[in-house]
Amino acid sequence: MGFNNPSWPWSELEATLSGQPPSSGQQQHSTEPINRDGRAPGSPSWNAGGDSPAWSRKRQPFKTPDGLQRPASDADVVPYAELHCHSNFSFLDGASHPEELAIEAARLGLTALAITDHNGFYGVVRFAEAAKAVGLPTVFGAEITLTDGLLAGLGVARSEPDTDRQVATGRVPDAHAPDPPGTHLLVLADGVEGYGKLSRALSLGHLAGEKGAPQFAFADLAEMLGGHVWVLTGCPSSTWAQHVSQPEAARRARRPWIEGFGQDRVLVELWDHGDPLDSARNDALYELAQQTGVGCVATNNVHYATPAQRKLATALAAVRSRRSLADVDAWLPGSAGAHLRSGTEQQARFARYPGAVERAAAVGRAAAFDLALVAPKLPPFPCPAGAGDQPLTEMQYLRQVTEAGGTKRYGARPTQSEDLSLRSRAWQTIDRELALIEQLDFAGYFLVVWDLVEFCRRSDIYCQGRGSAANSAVCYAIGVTAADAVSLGLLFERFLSPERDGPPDIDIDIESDRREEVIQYVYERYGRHHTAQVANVITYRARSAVRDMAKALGYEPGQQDAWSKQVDGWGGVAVTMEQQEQEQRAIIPKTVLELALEVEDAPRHLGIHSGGMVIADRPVIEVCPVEWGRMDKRSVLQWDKDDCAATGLVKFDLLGLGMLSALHYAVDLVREHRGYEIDIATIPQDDDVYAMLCRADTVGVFQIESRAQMATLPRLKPRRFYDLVVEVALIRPGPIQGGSVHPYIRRRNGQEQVTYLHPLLENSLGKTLGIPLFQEQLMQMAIDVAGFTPAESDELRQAMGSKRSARRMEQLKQRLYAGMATNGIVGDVADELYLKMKAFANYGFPESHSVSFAYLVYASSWIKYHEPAAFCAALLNAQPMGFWSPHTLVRDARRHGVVVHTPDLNASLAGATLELCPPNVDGEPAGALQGGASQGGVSQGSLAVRLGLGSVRGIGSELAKQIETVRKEGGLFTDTEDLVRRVPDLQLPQLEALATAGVFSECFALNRREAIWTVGATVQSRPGRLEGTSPVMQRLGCQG
Amino acid sequence: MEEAVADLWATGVSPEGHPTQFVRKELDAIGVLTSVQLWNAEPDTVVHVAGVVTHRQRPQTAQGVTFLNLEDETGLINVVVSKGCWHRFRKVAREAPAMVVRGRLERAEGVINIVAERLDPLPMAGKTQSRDFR
Repeated sequence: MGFNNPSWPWSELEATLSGQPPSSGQQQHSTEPINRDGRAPGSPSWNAGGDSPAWSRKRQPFKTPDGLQRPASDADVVPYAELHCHSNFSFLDGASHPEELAIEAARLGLTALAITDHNGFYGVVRFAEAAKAVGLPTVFGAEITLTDGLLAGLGVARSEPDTDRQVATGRVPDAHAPDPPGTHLLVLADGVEGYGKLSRALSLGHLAGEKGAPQFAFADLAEMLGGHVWVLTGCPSSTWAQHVSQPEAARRARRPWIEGFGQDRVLVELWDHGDPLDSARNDALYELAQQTGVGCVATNNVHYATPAQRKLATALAAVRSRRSLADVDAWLPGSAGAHLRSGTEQQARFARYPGAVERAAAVGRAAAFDLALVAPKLPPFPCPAGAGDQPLTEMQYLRQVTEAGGTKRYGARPTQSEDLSLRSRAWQTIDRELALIEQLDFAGYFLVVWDLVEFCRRSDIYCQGRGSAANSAVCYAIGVTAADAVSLGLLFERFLSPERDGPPDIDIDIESDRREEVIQYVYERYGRHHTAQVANVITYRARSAVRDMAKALGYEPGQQDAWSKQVDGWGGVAVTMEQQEQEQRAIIPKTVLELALEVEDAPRHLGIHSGGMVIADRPVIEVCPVEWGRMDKRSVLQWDKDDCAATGLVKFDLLGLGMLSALHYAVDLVREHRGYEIDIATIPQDDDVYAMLCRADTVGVFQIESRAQMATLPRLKPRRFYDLVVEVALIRPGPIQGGSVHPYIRRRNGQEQVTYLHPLLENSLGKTLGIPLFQEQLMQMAIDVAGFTPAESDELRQAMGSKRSARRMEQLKQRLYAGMATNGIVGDVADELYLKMKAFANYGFPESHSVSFAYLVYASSWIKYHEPAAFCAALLNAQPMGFWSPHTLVRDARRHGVVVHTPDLNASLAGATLELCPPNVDGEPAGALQGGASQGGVSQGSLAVRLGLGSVRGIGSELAKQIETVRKEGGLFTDTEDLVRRVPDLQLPQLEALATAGVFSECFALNRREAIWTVGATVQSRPGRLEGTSPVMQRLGCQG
Repeated sequence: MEEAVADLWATGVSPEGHPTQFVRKELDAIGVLTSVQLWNAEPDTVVHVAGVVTHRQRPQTAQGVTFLNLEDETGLINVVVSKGCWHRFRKVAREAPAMVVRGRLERAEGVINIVAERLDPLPMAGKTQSRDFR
């Protein structure tokens, strides 16, 4: 989606939108910096999910470096394919980005390059994209770590060396050992089918184990992969290499290989890094291969692209083994040999072993394929039976669901004779949309989303569709979105049009505290092999880079901390280096910074994306391996969202939205304590609420609570709902704060006249005073001035937004100019119009999304104004969320006259709640401050917020819940000893925290100091002991 | 005051007290204004403000300008820190949980900004945590 900020400055956009001539500097923007991975820095993407202002970044397309020199002709190169190569997606066991490897391989003129990261396909999509760009054939494989003791189908018995190690060290093998345990098996897929089988095998191994500890048994792998892969005997950690000195053991060990994978599929791997033992080992392996009758291949066991990266590779090895470079030195290779080598170089090194280099090239050629995998489709949606026991088709079922929903939203279909009105327009729109959905075959997609929303409804979970889905009347009818696309006049084609490839994006915001239930529902409904969450690759940032590299260089932990704090979190390592150079002081040693600069942006480990889930009709585990996430019961793909998009996996975003939780809590609190029901969907419009917004009194309100928003509210002076839609779109991270005032605000305040470049624009831009704010307006402009169809206009919007489709853009441009000419728009006006549209294309916000969010803005504003106490308590319970900290939220509530009590053992629940408070408790009439709540007619001051026990440091929601439950079941606590006996999980630090927080002050009349003394004494009283017999208690003569 | 510090330590929320209110006497003595008093100050004059840092933000499009939010016992204060000023006082800017800011008062259409010229750390009892964004 085109929600990215353009790469050019706001000042120029502002100038263009204001109708000033563009500055001459506009051509410079193409010279963006290029990162080490051959991509421009990611642009922030609106699609991040969760509450603002955290925006995620979108990966930029790979660009072939300009200076890339390749061998002049094929005659100059010795054919050779590198079959064993780790990228930095081997996480700390490889130093180069997949893109760097592809570039270097192309420079060397390799026949093909295999990417073989540990236990996965983490980097294959990036690798494939770069390799395609530089014209390099690709092989996909993985180096699998076999689980100790499960070799050769021998069951769970541990192998002898493992037992020895166990006896010697008294513990099971350590994953952080300098020379990690486990035997390696290098597997290369022989094509699309082999890829699918390998992906499946990797997934099953990961799912059989736990996060970071997959279980791979040799027999399983042989059974699943035999005949579809090549296996290489691999690096020093393979049975073959380990057994070179023991011929008898070697003979025993290799039989299962040949039986399992096939005589012609087992390849003995020779590599030569220039270590003293390399030649001897290669000789032995070569002989072994001859005896066994299997082929030999030369590889270079690559861990970095060029020799220059060896330093980084060794530093990473130190980080992985959690030792300093000095300590790990003995295990590190002596020379920088593990880089990519050309065929000529390998030929010279492996002259002793005829055929090894040639066979590597041959296998590379045979195994290479393009990762243009067939993207799996959505699973068939289970439809109920229709008339005559035949199950309905997806389309029939969707029609049925839409019919019912539409009738509820808009009323029954009007008959032929009655017409006019919104109702008939709505049904016409619905029919048109359904026809397009049928044509594009997306009925199943809509049903999946509808099913999720229905699940939320059944389970009383607040949810709401966001993004462009709100352009659709069908989405509104089936309850996915809350915005009525028909009465708002939103363009459906922004959401779905025939020219788009791939299904539309329907993102659903779900109240964050209950999102897990929805995620688990998806797993349950579609199965673990068909659905998984999208990964988020955690990369080295400036601070973590400095910390880890300082660690590798052997500096003390305290020193590592101090330095990483010095680093400017905003600027990256380069900025910190620059600062040090300017000031000519070296706070952080140069060696640390140089390594940090190199490792910056390299993947560190895998996390979980905030909401993306992939659902597929065939097992997704055959497209991308799935592994366990850090969180309980989450299985995660090895690809991030950009990888999924590139391969066409259908992703649903289930985003957690703290504000939906807060609204739910607020509605519940109001129902319980004030006895009336708020229906979020039908909150009445209220001038007083808008007056509050004009004062920028918005701490805690959805979206418009941030400082930038607060700064515009007094200028924008929102007075009706549509103003909120504008406000949401107007402020995106950055622009307004950059110093200039948005032209819309100038016009709105009468500082500038409302003009239109051409009268035909009045239709599209009228509601925003002639300034385009929304993507839909761009489309409408094209429709009005050039007679585009809605579908064409969406194509224009997309083409303008991306740099890739230059040719298509040229065609559309001609079409636009021709269309404008028929309307009499030519010359300068046409040029200016085109320029304006182009300037705006990437910048605009989808109106539909603004509308969806504006509903939440209004709902939260209304509650803040009318029920400030409930609002405050609800926000506290929905933490962490939003812009302000709990302390600020409470201070804000206090400023609005809400009384807030500290937690109390017998009065507090686990979370914050409301309680009746006696009037004039501190002489200050409650509700008297500017909040205006008391004007609402209800006496508002009688409710106070009571903070929850869970807010106390170290207690946490579970323990707090336990205290609450125990108290509810067994009555109020009588003293601290009673508490300790009834909630034995409470430990001394937690009791002291409770005492410090003053939870015993009201109920037991103990001040905090007394309370801390008392809990220290009572903590020894446990269920197993007699009451009142704790020795300290007696000595103190304390009765609690 | 002890209770407010205890509240902040134990729950991160102190309904009754704000860290700055306990040093207000000293702040008054050196002419530091509260966020409420700013409304009565002349625009374009140099003022002192003080508070706990609630946010540090540096949006990409702001060309290196950092926005600080301070909170005192009366409300919130917006501070704009230029690249140069940030650099000059970056230890305070980056790490101080609370600070005294000297700067020029900007006021337009209901919005007050302090354009910082000098940042000094404000030693304070009670620990608060700022939220730092890109």
